[in-house]
Amino acid sequence: MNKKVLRLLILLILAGAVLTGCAAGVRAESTPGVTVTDSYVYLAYMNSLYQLDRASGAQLSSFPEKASANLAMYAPPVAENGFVYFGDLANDFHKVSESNLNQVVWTFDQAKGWYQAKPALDGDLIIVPCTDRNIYAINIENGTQTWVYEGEYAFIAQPVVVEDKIIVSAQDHHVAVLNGATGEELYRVDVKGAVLAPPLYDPQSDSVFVGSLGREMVSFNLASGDVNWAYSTNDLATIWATPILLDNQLIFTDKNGKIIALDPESGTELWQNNAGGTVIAGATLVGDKGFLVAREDGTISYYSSETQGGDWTVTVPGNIYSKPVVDGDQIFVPVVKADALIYTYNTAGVPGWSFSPSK
Amino acid sequence: MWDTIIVQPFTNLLLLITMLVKNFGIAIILFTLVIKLITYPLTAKQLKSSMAMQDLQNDPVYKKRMAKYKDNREKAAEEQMKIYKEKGISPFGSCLPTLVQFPIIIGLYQSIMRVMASTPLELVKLERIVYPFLDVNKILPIQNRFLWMDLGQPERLWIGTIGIPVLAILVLATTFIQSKVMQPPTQGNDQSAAMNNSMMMMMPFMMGWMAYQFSAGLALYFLASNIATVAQYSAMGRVDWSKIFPWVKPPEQPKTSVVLDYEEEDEEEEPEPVKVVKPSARASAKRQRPKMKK
Repeated sequence: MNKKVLRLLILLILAGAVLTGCAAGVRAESTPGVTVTDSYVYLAYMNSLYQLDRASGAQLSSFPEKASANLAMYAPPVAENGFVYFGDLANDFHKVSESNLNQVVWTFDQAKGWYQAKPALDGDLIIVPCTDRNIYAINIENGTQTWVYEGEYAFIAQPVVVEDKIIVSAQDHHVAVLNGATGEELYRVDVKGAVLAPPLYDPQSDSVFVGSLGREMVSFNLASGDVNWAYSTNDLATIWATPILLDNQLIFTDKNGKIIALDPESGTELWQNNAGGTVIAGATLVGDKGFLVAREDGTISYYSSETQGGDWTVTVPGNIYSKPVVDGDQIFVPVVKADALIYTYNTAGVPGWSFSPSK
Repeated sequence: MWDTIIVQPFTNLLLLITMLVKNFGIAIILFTLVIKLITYPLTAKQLKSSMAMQDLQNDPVYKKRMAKYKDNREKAAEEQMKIYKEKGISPFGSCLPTLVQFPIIIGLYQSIMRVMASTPLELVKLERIVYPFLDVNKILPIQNRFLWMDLGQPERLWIGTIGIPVLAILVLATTFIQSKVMQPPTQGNDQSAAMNNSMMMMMPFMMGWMAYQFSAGLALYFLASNIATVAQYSAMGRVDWSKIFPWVKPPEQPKTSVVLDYEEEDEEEEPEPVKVVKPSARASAKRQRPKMKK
């Protein structure tokens, strides 16, 4: 074999290795998935699921033990009763021990797509949305499939479990309500656009509130499926996040940064404000007195329900695309394009720890 | 800059086609064909140039001139350029259109990946580059299902628990066919022939492996592109099917497109035509007969 041919072969092998290396690695770009428990913070991003100490932010453990380019995860896990449930981009869904993340109890490998959304616990089932257009109900004891709901598009939002029903956001312009025991679709409520975030359920009025890319906010009765009202204006932009209920006001944001409060019963507009920039993460409830709005550019403002104005503002050095998690007096902000993956604050806006994986 | 000039128009064109045909798989195929049509003048120019170069390489007078300066590389190159100039051949004529096509191919790949957004973050990024006249709400979500495939996932045809990578196999096969039928005739001992052969063996496996690993949408693009390229070259009469199907009559070699009508400087060096004398049957038999020892 002459030198030129040998060189060409080496070049081709290298090109193949580089290209297939990219292909075999992470196939999607997403934001860190965060779940907070009393003791731990779980952070799913790229090649690892990190277990952090909630008080200090110190890394306690990670899954897998040794990060692999072929395994990635973004979906926020569910942590309950000493176990952690999460899906990855290799189409596997795992139950692992909280005391040792690498002690796998079972792995569900029947899905043909990867996991983007946080699952939801429903008694002895875990309801898992998957990008293969299915929602799987998996028995948490043995990891076997109890039922599967087949949709038309990838499921990328956390399902909402309300007693014997499961409310599912669908990208093909509707919300489906399923029987929690069988997975059978009870009814669906059509909306004007793709629903990318979980709906909000209000037990007091038995109403469900859901915003969509169709530039509208819809309320429907969970028992009957009847639409209570639909709010839409000419200047309303796309809605990407779940609304919140505060002081009997339904508050949500549109992509252009508009903060809108509606009467949850009638859907009439109560007031409007503007966050001053693009908002994808929406509004996040902080206790029972106020809420946060996190802008894409990293600016987080706290609004109290009384003043409706920004009481304090902090800026993280990155972009925010997913809702901050508020638990007790701590705020956890997942970010991308920053030095750290997560920044924390207290509810007065004082910065706490941040976490970036060791390289 | 790159996004504005290449990726954004491509993405919007792909979305527009998807809106019109309401099927992302068909949209990828049509999109590939549209891009092939747009880049047709470049392909034709590239082919014309490579044909002229190829014909020149086979020309005896050119060969003689090159042989004359075989020990003087500088002079040979100078002479080569002189001939190129005389004949109006651009030595970069065949690689320049290829280079121009590279950003198009990369842009095509990137736009397909963008349209197959599957996370909120990717959807935000997609929404941001959609032109105002396309209503993103009407476009999203993109239906990734095409035949048995999920265009956002690596393709497998599931028969029971066995997933057969049909698309990857088709990409491998069409890449092989494409390289085989479009391979220009070369001299047997030529280094470039050896390189071509290595390429012809490696490329299909590389493309097949990529189709196996990447999402089906991209593999579909590889397949459509391979078929379109073979069809395009076939329409130009540059495909030799006899290399794949032995029962097909090989096409007649096109007449030299470069007419070497230049004056010979060294008439005395005109090579004598080699006389091939066919040995008679008796002579040949005599040669093969072992000599008997006395």
